[in-house]
Amino acid sequence: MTTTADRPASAPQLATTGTGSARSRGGERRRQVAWVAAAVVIIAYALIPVLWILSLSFKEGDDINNQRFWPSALSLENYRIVLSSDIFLTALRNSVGIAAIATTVSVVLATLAAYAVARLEFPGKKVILGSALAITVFPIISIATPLFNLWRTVGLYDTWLGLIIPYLSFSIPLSVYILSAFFREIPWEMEQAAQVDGATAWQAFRKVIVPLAAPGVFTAAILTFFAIWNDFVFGITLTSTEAARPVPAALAFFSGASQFSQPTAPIAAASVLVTIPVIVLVLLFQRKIVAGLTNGAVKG
Amino acid sequence: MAAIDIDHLVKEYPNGFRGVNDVSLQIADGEFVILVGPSGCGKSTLLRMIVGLEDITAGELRIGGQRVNEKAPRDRNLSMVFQNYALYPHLSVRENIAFPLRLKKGVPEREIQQRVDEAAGLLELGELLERKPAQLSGGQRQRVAMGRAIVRQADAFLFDEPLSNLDAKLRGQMRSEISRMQRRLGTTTVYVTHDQTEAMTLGDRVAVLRKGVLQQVASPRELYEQPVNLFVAGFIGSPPMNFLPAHVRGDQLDTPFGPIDLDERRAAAVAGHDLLLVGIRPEYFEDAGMVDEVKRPVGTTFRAQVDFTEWLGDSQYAYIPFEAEAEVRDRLRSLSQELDSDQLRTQAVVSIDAASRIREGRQAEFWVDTRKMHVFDPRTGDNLTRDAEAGAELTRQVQHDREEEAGAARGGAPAVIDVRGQGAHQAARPGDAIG
Amino acid sequence: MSTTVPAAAGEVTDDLAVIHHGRPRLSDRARHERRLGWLLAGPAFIVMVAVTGYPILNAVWLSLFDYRLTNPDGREFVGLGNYGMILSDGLFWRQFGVTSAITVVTVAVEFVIGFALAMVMHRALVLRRSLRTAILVPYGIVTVVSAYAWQYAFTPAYGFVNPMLNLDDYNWFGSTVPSVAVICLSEIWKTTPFLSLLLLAGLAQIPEDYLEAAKVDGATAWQRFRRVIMPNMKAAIMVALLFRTLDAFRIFDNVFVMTQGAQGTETLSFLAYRQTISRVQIGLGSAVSVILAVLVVLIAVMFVKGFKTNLSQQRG
Repeated sequence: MTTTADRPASAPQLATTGTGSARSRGGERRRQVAWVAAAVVIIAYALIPVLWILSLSFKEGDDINNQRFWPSALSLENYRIVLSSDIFLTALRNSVGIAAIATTVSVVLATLAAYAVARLEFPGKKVILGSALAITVFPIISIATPLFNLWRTVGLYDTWLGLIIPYLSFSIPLSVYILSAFFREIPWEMEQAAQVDGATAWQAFRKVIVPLAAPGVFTAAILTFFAIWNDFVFGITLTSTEAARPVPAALAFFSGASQFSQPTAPIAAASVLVTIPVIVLVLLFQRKIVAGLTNGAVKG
Repeated sequence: MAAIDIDHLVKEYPNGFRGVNDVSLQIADGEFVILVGPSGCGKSTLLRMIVGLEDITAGELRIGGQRVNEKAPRDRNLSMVFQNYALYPHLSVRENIAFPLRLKKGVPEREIQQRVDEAAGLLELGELLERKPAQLSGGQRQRVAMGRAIVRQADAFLFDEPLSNLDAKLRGQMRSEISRMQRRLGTTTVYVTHDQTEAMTLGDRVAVLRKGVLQQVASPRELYEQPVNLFVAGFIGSPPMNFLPAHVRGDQLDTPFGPIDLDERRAAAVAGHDLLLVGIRPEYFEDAGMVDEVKRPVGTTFRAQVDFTEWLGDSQYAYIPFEAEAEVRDRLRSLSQELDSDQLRTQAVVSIDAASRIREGRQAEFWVDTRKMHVFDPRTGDNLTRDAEAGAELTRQVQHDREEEAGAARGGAPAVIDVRGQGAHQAARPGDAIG
Repeated sequence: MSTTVPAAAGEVTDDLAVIHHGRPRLSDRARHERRLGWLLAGPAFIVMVAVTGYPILNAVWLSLFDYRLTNPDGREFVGLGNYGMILSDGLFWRQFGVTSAITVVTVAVEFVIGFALAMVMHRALVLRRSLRTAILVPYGIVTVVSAYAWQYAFTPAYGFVNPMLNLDDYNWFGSTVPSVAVICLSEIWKTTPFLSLLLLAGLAQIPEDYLEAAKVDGATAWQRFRRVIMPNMKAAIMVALLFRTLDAFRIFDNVFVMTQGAQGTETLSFLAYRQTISRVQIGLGSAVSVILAVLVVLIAVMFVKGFKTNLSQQRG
């Protein structure tokens, strides 16, 4: 490891150490191959379980039990079963509706709060940050069970609102951290300049700060959506019927078309369906998601 | 366009620290005033109080005769160029410049475009209008910030160290551009800087601040030649003024470089003092061998050991160490720290002819012009030999020149500007000068 | 919001007061800033605290009672009785052990894999975009789906793992250790990307100069990693490990889907759930919830403290 030629190779786990004259063209080439190999291994690691559940979802009949990774024929039967099942469809509707509402409300509230926390000086700021931290640390299950009791008495048990409210309280802290990191990066002079230019508080916030923070708000929305879409604990503890049960919870109680057939393949199909929105978001917004996760965590 | 009246302004922080302490300053309509001082002297705070970004603890601020203490920045109709320009990154150059106009209700689109184009023309930004700030160079950003400031037709421009992020060459260009624009528009301007050159070249008057207290307000020439105290004398000028310890012996001063004769006026001024500091600027010295016989009598000559020399082509500096008693050493060290420099030894910097063959490490003979020296009281810092009338005259001359210039720049009759002979009288209580 | 902008003609400062240093007594500006602060942050604060504060206090309160939902009249104050019962129960300690084992194993494995992932993502120029996109799939996927994918892969009847390993019809879910191993696999697969992204952020903050200087000074790749990269990533490592440890200790979804707590795979979160929701032992379940919460807080505190001393030693 001698020269600048091996600059990208400081990752020790790559087997490029001891290549001696790293300058040679052969060494450079080997290194390239090593990088590609490492990247391919990682991509395979990330995707094989997804491919497996996808392949399982296309299997039918005996094919399911042949212990092979790939299906021998592509069948859409499982999707037909799932998409004609009320249980799954209502669950999907619940999930989409609840996640959409909760994400929107959560991000709006979090944006305002994050701005206040990052930019304004007011008593009680520490209390807000402290309670946000406490909530992220607190085990959800420890909230879910008392909430189960409470919701039963106030009539929010098994309703959309009954899920939306706890989703808000658990997603707001995350968004506040991510967003206040974004707000802090906006130079102070932006608001000051806007004020001198004749802007009111509201105008400075809306015309200068919000546009600058928009990428952050968007990222926070995606991450919040993931968190809510993924929820399982509230889904199973705070619902009992199709009225509000979201997909992950429904999946766990899914029993296929008839009670006698193994629901494995239909569950796989349903799993694929709930994964599609995640994959679409990841494909479209990979860069923003990475930035949001890394920004908020390190600086927040 | 408006005059700015700063009337006993105070900025006090919750811990009792006064960032700006009882500063009074009248800035006339159309005047260009520089606020200058070492870091932490309160100059930026004062500017931010004027624009409304910082609350005023006490005193009154009037713009165009109206009290504005309580007004929000947006209601003061001022425009400001920030140190980092504060361009809105999400808006194009055109929209950045138009921003203040868009915030005003009822400015028709056509007028907005027209005014933006005018400003862009003035600043040669025409081709850049559709770009985003990220695509601009430092100098271009600076010009856009100025465009945003002028489009608003504000009552005054405020600049907060606007050139400090540019490299030296660009700084020179932008300096002349700011000066040209201000003369042309005739807008009252307050400009904060810590840069000597900007302070000396741009302003009609320069206000020197120290620890929140105004020391002296005057034309650059007056500050240079008739400083009110040790602090101003040491702050203005580069390399800085030399301060030599001196004892009064009749009508002579006894210094490490030999005795210096005092004229009648100076002798009277220093009478009754014992230990003093003599302030002599580097360029008042010369290699004795290079001085005309005609000039010799107005100064004194002395021999001294040269520590080292710096030859810069067009000029040359020699460093001459001298001994000083502990009291003087401490005083000079604390002064040097206060001025953001960190001179550790007591030495004089003298400017000599570039052709001089004076060598490092040898004795050499120097001549010093004693006509322009000043004598300071080391305890209070007061300049004992300041000629207030001569100083005031310098400031009046500068003002007169400027009025002519401004009139010419605007292409009309010379503007009538309030009489402002106040430079000399505004020297704030020099008694505060010693910490 | 608009209420913060007084209609009075310009005599009142209603700007977003911007503070640099301290501030004088209480100016208009400061008052407006305070009000605006609470107007903006208040709603979020109320939503956060109202929904969590009451349940937490309620849980603490209920944990002091012997209370079954099926027998509300039999509710009886037992003080710390529930806690005594739980802490003296061998089953609880077994579940504590399982939970701790899962936490230690997953976090350790994830840290190693996550670091490798972060390094490759940081350095690889080829396939950069694909790499980051792929890594986000496990992060974004629903845990329940991950659990099913891994469960089915290891199920003898239809999984591809047994034939691949020549294990015939070995039942992974027949005993504790293999069941926990599969649960860990799913957990690791799903959460390593998050950890690696946090580490990636730390890596990206190390100036290239440091590594070049180390190279010039003669450091090997391993020495650069150990003596330059690691010490400069302290904060990122700490954050990543803390987040993941707290998360792993609260593991629930994977256990629920894969084994329903069978074969001794029950974790503390699962116990809390089972006591309250399935067995409606509200008092006992609440006590488990409180214990779990206390443990999580303890871990967080230990982590922060331990990491600090560890770091200061490293520095010296």
